Amino acid sequence: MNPHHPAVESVVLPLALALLVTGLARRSFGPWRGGLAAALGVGTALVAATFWMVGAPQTPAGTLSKLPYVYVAAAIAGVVVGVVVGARSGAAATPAARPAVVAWLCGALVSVLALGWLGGIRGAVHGAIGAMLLAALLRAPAGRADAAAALVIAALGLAAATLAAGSLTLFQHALLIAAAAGGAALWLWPRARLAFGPAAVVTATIAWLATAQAATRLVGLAEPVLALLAAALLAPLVTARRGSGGVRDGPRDDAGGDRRDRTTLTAPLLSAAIALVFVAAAVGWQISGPGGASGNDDGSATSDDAYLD
Amino acid sequence: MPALPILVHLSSSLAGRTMLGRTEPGRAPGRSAPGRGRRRRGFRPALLAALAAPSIAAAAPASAQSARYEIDPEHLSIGFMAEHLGYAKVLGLFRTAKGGFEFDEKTATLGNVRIEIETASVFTNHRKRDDHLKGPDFLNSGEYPKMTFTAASARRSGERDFVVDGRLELLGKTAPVQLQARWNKSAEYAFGTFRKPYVIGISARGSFKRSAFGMNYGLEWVGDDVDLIVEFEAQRR
Repeated sequence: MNPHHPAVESVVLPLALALLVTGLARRSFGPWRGGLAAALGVGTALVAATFWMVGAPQTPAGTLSKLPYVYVAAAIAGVVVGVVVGARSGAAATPAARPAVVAWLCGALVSVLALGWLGGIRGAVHGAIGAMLLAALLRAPAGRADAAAALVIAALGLAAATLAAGSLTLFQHALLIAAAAGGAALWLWPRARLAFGPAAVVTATIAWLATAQAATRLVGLAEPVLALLAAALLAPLVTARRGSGGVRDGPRDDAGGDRRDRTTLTAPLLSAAIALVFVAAAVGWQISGPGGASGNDDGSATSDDAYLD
Repeated sequence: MPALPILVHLSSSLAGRTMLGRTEPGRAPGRSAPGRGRRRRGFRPALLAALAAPSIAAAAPASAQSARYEIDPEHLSIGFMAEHLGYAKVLGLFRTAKGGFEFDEKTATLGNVRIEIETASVFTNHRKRDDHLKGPDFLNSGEYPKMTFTAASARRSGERDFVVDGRLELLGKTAPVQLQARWNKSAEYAFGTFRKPYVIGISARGSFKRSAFGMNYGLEWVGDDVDLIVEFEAQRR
């Protein structure tokens, strides 16, 4: 197997790393240690697979060369949130209000700074808007994969949109985020074994926002497309009311536990389905819109040829 | 692109040492006449030497000064070739570039070589591929609209051949690029009603690895080695 095949770089490697590191961290820290395990899994997969894919740009001058370092910042932010929130919430499956605010503040700060670094003032504004999305995602039950499912679908949508816009590099970046979040989320679905808590949400969301910002900057991803993809991240708001979900520490001995298990299974699917509707609309817009898929229909003509004027 | 400065460099070296314009082969144009003059003066009276000196001095500055050459956009071709999946190479062009250099035919020295190529002018006779090449996977024209070749030196490798060591700036990175240049012709232009410019014609070839500039996308399928084919004429100002 070619270790630099795009499928290996963007899917196999991040998926395997996220699954492995999350599992190892869970074994070391326990299932609820502030959601740190999933954050470590997502962050490690994201950073390692990205650097494996693009190398380590020594002078991050352009947007693409900055992106790996934004992922590093996102991973560090996730670990910091995991440590801080874990310390404050103890073994709680669903973080208390105050730790969630701390997580949001940390995530919002990194989001604005990172996207500002990528795209100047416009990027910082996108970072601030992204902080709103982060607030919504942080409301999702940590013991279910609702947020992870929405992130995976939104990342796959971003991958499809960037592919239609003509950048296979950004396509791979977005695919990599989906694989990293998906690898960690497999520990929550179909049965929850740990929390995809604020730490993992902060890491994956900042990475997604940064990649979306790069797409608007480099391949001119249309604002409506971006808005529809961002709306996909709000899907967990719909499913958040369907029970709190989560891992049961005790034996399965009551009807409430069964309902919780069912919700753990179905709520992420519903979240993914809702997100998929927005993603389908976004990709459809990208393909059919005025700034849609790159090139002419047949791709062969050069209608803008000056010699033909 | 990089070939242009190289070519200029070559032409200057050739001009200085061999047969640029009306210079005799193997003889620097500015040196031949004065050299003979000095030898003859050694056998003549001092008065004659004194009379001859002003005319020599008047002739010397014209050939000793560096001339500025500007690349003629109507006679400029910057091509490249890159392998596709091992089947065949794709040939492309950069259709917009500008640049110039200074060249002293007498001393065959080249300076201030600078060629700027608009990356968005890439053309491979396929619109979608051109769009892809302009995008972030390859040239990233939005963030890096130009690539620049500069050169400060060249060494002669044959009667009309030179090796030009320059530096190419691409995607925000600078790396050395070597071109093999050939000075084809240097003479007053054959056409022109009011003005017949002095023109140098250069051909250059070279190659570089795109990965040296961080252009790492699809190295498994699209070749890392990019061959350069540069042909241009430059007019002396």
